[in-house]
Amino acid sequence: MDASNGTDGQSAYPPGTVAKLTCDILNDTFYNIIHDIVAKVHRDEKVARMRSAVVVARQKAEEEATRRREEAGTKPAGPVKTGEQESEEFKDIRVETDGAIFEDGKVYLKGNPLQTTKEIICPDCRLPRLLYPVTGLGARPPPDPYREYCQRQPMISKPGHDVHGNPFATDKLNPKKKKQTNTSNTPASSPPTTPDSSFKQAAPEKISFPTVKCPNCPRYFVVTRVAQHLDRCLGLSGRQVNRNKTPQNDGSGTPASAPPKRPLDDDTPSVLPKKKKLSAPKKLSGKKPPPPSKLKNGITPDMAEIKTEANGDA
Amino acid sequence: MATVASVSLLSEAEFGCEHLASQLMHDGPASNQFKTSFIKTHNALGRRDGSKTAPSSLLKPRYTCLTCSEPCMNGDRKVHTEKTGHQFYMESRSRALFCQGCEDMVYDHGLERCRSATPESTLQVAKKRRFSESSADELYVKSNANRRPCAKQGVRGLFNLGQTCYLNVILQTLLHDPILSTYFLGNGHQPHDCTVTDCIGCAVAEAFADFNSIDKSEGFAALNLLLASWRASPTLAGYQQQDAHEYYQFLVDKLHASAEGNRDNHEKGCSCFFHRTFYGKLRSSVTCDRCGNVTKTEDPIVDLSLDVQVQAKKRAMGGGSGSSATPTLGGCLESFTSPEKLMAGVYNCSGCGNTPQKATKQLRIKKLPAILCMQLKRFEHTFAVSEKVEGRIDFPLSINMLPYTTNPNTTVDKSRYTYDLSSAVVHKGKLEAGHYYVYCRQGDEWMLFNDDQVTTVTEAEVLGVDAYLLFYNLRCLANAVS
Repeated sequence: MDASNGTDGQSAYPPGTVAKLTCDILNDTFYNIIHDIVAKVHRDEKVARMRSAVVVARQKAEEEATRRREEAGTKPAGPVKTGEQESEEFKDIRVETDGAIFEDGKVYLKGNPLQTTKEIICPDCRLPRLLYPVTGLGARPPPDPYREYCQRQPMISKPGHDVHGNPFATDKLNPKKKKQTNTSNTPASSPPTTPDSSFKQAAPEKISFPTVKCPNCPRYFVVTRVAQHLDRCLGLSGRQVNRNKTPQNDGSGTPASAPPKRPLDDDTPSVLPKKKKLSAPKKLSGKKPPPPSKLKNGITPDMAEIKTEANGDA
Repeated sequence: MATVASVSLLSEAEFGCEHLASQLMHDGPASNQFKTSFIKTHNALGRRDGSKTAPSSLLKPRYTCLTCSEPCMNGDRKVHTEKTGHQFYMESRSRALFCQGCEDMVYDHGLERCRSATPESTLQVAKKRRFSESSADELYVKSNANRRPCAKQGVRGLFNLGQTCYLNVILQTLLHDPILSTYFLGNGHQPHDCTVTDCIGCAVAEAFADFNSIDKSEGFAALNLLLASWRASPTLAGYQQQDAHEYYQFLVDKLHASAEGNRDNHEKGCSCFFHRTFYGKLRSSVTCDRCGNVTKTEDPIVDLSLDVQVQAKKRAMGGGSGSSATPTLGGCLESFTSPEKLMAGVYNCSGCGNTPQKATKQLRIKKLPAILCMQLKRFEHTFAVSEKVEGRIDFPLSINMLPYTTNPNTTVDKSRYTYDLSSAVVHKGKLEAGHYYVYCRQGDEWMLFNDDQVTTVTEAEVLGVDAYLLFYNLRCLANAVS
């Protein structure tokens, strides 16, 4: 946004009262602020409508080209067409829509797109865009429920849900604890009861964290725990423990001390997330985690959970 | 605003309106003259020196006639057109084209392209083929390349893999950067040909591909980047919290190392992509108080580390009304680049026979990177204590960096130094343990990325946060100072 050039013209004003001057400046400044906002909205909207008009015309022209090709009986070109071929096809096609004229591969506007074009069409997928979110704040039902709309929709603003309207992922926990952890997991959200009632048909009520494969070994872990595992899997925590406890081992300790840790990990095979859940606290309580002080001080949501889980299950 | 808008020639109209079409349809003197006057008026309105224009109507937007460059007010325009037949005007605030025939603003794709160039070269640039100009090229690209899916472009969270929010905030920032998106999605780093083991470039490239191509709205896990980072740096490795700023420096350094044609020695001038994107230069000049001898050194920088404590203290000492005001980013930059007295004994002046002298040191930005990271030093480590400085520091949505450079008084177009806020990283919690989240701009909207949780926020919310890292993007790359 441009800086207001409000101070420039002061000296040139006729020597009236200060109040008059101040008032004029204020008025004009407010005028400009509103002007800028309106100009921006106007620009966005008009450009979108212009593009829609062009896309519609182009689409019509392509249909016309296909029709002609079929009439002429030529075999359809392969799926991979070069640009030249395609522009050749449009050479003598002229189609007209409400908002634009297609001629010789070029599209010319006809009239003001703000009047001629009513819908905003996505230039990429050529489907109409939804103008309001389908759920959450300011939601409106889609104008035509049986029509397909562009996937790019206005961002959804709804407590406990992300911009796509999906509920936040939570950890898989005992059903008893679910409520409690859900609130602790999403600090800025409202209690989980409100979204549940209005969001039944669209998505599952709870999304749990997915599992990912460890890049270093073939096992799968809940995504929020994988760094912790990786630390062990790479033998990093082993080295740290060594360094902290027995400084004399420091230099040669890295490769030598890692293997002894592995069997410890392996005796609790946690391929399934269900088993993993049980094994995680065991590991935590059985074997001291690498930086104990940090864990205690941790306040990230997932760390808070580890603590609650460890307390609950142990 | 620098964003990767999917500008597609195929969806642009040839001309902004019918009247413009008749003006520009036929290449010839008339059309060239029109373009020239468009650019001239555009640049004249951009300068804002105000000396030449009539000061009577400065505040409200004026409409300058493109044919006779007479400024009109909103109401006079119609009269002017009836009298002279001139149809096109340029509005003075947004410098948009107004067509009296349509009685509306018109936005012409071809003309808008002429805007973003340096004043001297505009006319040449307008003729030069800078982009793919023909829609045939675009058809070719369209039929042979993958398209970004429409669904919620680029708005995906990153799962916290366990104390990896330091990585997530930085990666999220980079993922939203238009320059880097163009680089990585345009195959700037080719993982298939890369032979480096645990290459950070490959891991970031993979993250970009993953982030943009898959038609999924849920978060994804930057596991390979984590692995590569841990393997590349022993200090980062391990299941523990890290400083996001350090991670940014690490990542930039490693990305630079992964680029083709990079040079390790920054002084010789590296021309690789990452160097030009991330690295600026800081000039530190030390002036001897006795003989006035100036020693200048230039160092490459990837960020500006701004002291906030000094700011806070200054406010406190100023007392009275000053203390209540929030410190600003501008103030931090001000004190960063202002002269600073060096204690006697720190500096040996070569002009005075290498004797220790009192001196004045000043830092100035010699070269600005396209992606400018500013760290507000909230973590203070002194000999006795380490503490985190809380509190708000006001930062703007866009900032002019010209006053902090080595020639702050040059009369160049201000837009060459204008930076827009692209991302703000916030640290919540204590010094040794806490959580990072980041606000990123996606197009015109702001999103809060709290690991995998993505929500919309307003501009006002973003400007109200206690930022730790601020990322600014050069508004217009065409104007980039080399």
